[in-house]
Amino acid sequence: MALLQIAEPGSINEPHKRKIAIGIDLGTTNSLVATIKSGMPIVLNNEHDEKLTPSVVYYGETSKIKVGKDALKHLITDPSNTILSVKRLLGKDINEIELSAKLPYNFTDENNMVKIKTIQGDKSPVQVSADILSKLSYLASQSLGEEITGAVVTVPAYFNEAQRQATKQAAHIAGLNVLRLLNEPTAAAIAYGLDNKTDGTFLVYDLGGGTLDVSVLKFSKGIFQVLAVNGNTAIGGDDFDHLICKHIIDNQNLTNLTKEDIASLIQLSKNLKEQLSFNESLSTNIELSSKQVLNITITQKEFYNLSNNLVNQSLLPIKKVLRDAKINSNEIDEVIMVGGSTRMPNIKDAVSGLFNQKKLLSSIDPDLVVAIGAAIQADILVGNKKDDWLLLDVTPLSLGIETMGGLVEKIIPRNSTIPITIAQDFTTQKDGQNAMSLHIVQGERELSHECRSLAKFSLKGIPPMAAGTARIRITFQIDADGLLSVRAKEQTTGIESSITVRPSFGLADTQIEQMLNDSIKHAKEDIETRMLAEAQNKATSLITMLEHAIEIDGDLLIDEEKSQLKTILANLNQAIEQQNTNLITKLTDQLTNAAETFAVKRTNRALKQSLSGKTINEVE
Amino acid sequence: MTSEELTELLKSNSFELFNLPIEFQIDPTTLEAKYHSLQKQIHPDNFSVNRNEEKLLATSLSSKINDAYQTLASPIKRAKLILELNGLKINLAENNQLPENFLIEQMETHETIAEANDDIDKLDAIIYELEQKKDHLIAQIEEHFVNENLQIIVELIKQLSFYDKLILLVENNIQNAL
Repeated sequence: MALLQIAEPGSINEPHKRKIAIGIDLGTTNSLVATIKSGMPIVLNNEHDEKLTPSVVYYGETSKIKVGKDALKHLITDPSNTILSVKRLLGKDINEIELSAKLPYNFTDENNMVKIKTIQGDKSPVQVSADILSKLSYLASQSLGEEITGAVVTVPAYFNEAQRQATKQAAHIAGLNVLRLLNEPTAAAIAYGLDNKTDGTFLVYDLGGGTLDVSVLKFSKGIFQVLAVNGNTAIGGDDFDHLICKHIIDNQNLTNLTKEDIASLIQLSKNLKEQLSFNESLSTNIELSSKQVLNITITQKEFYNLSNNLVNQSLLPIKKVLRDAKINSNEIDEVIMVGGSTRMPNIKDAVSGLFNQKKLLSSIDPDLVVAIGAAIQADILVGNKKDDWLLLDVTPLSLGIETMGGLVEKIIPRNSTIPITIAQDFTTQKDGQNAMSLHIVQGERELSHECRSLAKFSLKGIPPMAAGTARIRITFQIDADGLLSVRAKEQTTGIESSITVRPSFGLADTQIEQMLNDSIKHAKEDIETRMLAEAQNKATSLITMLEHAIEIDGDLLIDEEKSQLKTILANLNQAIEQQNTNLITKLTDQLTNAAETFAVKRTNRALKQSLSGKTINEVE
Repeated sequence: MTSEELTELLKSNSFELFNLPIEFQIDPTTLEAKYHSLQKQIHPDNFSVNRNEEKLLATSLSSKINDAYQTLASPIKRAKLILELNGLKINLAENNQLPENFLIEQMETHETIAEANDDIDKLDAIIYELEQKKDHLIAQIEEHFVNENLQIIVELIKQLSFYDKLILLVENNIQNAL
């Protein structure tokens, strides 16, 4: 045993060490972490022995942050400090957020940076996501007992640049080494593809809590090629909850509802929605803050009528993606259903209807499949398995620049295989012009203000030349994570122009640094808090014990000893009150020493008492 | 592969990268197989735990392979590259020499597209017709490459690019009509 342990780290004698890699599904409603153990993907359990950790963060009155089920408990009593569905806010500006579902939070908007007001200060969606990721990362390292080399974090395929950047920043702040941002439907296809090991064309319909993704992939001779993706980052399971909630409010003519009422009604609607997948009719009641008791009855049929429009809307990306992939619906070998919302029978029927009533594939739990695929990919990326397959993904949205009159010129079309690099030459309009600005947008619309603004670039230091002679080559690169970077160079002189990136929203690097520092500081604070708590506990139990002993056996102490003990006791109580960790520890030790003679005397007395009345024989 | 070898590959043209002869005729199956085998070696996912510079180099080269595949798979881009390698520059925006009957046909197609409005079946029929015309042009281009009539090919490529633009327009209309 010991002989096996003497190999020095990094020496050639060290047996091939498996690196620990995790896959994280950062979901709107629930988040999961998975890994590969003995060649098999497993989803790790949290402290409640559950695989699904609710993506909920509670910022309470003390500096403590709760994540998951423990945070969810505060939803009804303290909705504005309990943040849920934060993924729907990620990478969005205030206008986009206000357009989406009504949320019970108070937002601040400074320099296009949206934050949520909480009792612990303003929290950006990136920070909230980072808190969820930290929790999952902690869970994995606790469960695996080893250092984690890297993580694959999944994102909806239809996430734009801003949303991807925000996710990567959150992972960075959570201290994760991100091996790759992986598209969720692709992750699901990996989980299935490797299960079946058959070549074919798959369509993945992924309806999560807050996003809808549809992807078409071809698996052939060890290559996973994504042909096209489509989706809607504003449709999710949440919306079905809201439909039921609105139906209840309208039906019962409810007015003057408090935030707490709305939070409980939404939770109730969510439960009803889930139950309606298995029940034709449901009845329940709920008490509002006004003490009014509502009796609610809803049938499956009513719910399907309510959600008919939403279901139809969710089919549109399927039609679009097939068109983009240049594939007919009958050429799809398997339709894979992903996400908890695909358990709804009306969704299943609608999707199956588009594929000639084809049987849908959902043999892997739709809640777990994305995390499983991410873990498989992570394991390969850290080099544990030199696998013979490769993933080629695409960029979901076209990238363009604003030209004259606010029109968009597309530079990288949607569904281009990534990584991709495209260079485009620009020239100056005036003699001696030394700067030019560029506006980069993402989206399919023709006018720049209808697309998502990504960044405004200022090119400075262009050498003075006659109009139209400068040749500025701008190189756009989208890497394998789907993230954009831009370089610029004046071609005739070879001068690299300085480029200033002003993100149209989101975080600047300095802000990320600040948050990183804060989280390190917090970690330090956490340790200090824990040390204090431990010292206090130890001291308090010693005090209780000693006070009790003095009460019983006080006569064993001479006055001098008694007063010495009482002085230290008083000092220790004061130190506890002052929360002085060092002093508490010091005085606890002092008190233990001072009480030693007392303890010996007490032990002797106890011994004598237990011996009295017994014969010598018995003692022997 | 070493960094030097990777850097060297970055300088090569699409045909060299795929180790294919500079010819217009290309077998799509061979092309795809070569594409996949190149990506399996070069893709940045192979370097995700390596140093950042290696990852960046792999990203650049992998991008180049993607671009080269697109170039070689597209008749118009492939033809343009061969002409350029033969010292002929083509400016697709310069189209003052297009035949009159071609331009008239273009205008008529635009009208048909407008009339089809959001009728997907009609739009699909237009695409089918345009694809056939494209195939016909590609066959002509192939023949002219054999006979080395490069100047004629320049004109045919310009016409081909008009069909590509029309198809893109109709596809867009279909996406909006869905």
